Amino acid sequence: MRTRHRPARIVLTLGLVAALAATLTACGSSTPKAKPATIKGMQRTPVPNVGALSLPDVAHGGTGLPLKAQPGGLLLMYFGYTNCPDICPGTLAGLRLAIHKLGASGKRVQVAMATVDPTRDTAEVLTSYLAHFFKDAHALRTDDAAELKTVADAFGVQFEIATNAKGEEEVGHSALSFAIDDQGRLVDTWPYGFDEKDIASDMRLLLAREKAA
Amino acid sequence: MITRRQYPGPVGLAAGILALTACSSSSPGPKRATGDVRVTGAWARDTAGEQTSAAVYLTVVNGTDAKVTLTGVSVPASIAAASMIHRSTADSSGMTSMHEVGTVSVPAHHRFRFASGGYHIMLTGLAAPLRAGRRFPITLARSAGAPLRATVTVRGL
Repeated sequence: MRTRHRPARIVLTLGLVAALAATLTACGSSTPKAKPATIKGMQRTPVPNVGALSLPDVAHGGTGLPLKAQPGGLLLMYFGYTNCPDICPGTLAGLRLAIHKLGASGKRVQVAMATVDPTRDTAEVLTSYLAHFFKDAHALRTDDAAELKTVADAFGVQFEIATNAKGEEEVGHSALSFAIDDQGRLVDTWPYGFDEKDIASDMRLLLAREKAA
Repeated sequence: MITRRQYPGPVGLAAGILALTACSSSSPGPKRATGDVRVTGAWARDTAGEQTSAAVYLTVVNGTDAKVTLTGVSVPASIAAASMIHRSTADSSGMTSMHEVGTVSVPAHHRFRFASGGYHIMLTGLAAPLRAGRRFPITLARSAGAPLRATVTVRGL
């Protein structure tokens, strides 16, 4: 079986290092102290702005979706592929749960997933996949490899698609989720395995920040 | 957050211990020999759209005085064409690859968790989408003794 079914090789770059760090932190903290809520995800300095970028949203007629949230909202962004058994559905289920925890404010959060495997993830495949997790997600797909790379680079996301000796596709990607505000600023990054409660807590803070602005 | 603020000490400590337990794949199991090896909490996430692969998560509890070596896994062909033990590992440059694992050892009186993001059982070539509530058998072969059998429950979102 081992030789016949060579598994897809999943390369998680930035994400895993961060996830590992997050796990270590989580494992080491046995005496948390009560303090005001702060953003628990990764924040970059300077804050990248991806608002000028866009990708075709095949769930909404293929028109370009600017990578910024609706006014006063958040856009959660993920790069993945549908033929991914563990990390991708785990990530999307986690985001769904985190949004659910926001209650009514969850309506201000939208989700977009860009496929790194457009050959297998047709518009129909990607759209029906996302519909399983979210009511109205943005399914981002482009056949233009350079366009996808430009966007991925702006997020610091790496991906690679290779064909192995058996002719099977091997897909690698960074397992990170991002929050983008209504100015297009990449305000938060969560590695895989980040606690849904902490993602929800971060989103509450980010939404409140936008409301106040 | 709120819970921690209300009950700082003991709950925080308990949370820490829980986190530590959750973080290791292999952790001490039953102290006394129960004389058996069990598979508990076997589940799979329901699949989305036309997803053709899925992951199964479970815990192997080794209550015996001997090490248990898992050598393979199988599910009925009516569920998936193939199944294998997988693990994500990072190399020195931080690149992580998901690859098939030949064997997994569970020390005497330890439990071993197959959990998302680490060791998991990958099903490929799903015969049909996995729908919430569905149950199917899974068999874990071991180097010695009868195969371990369990029932996987498919969970919805």
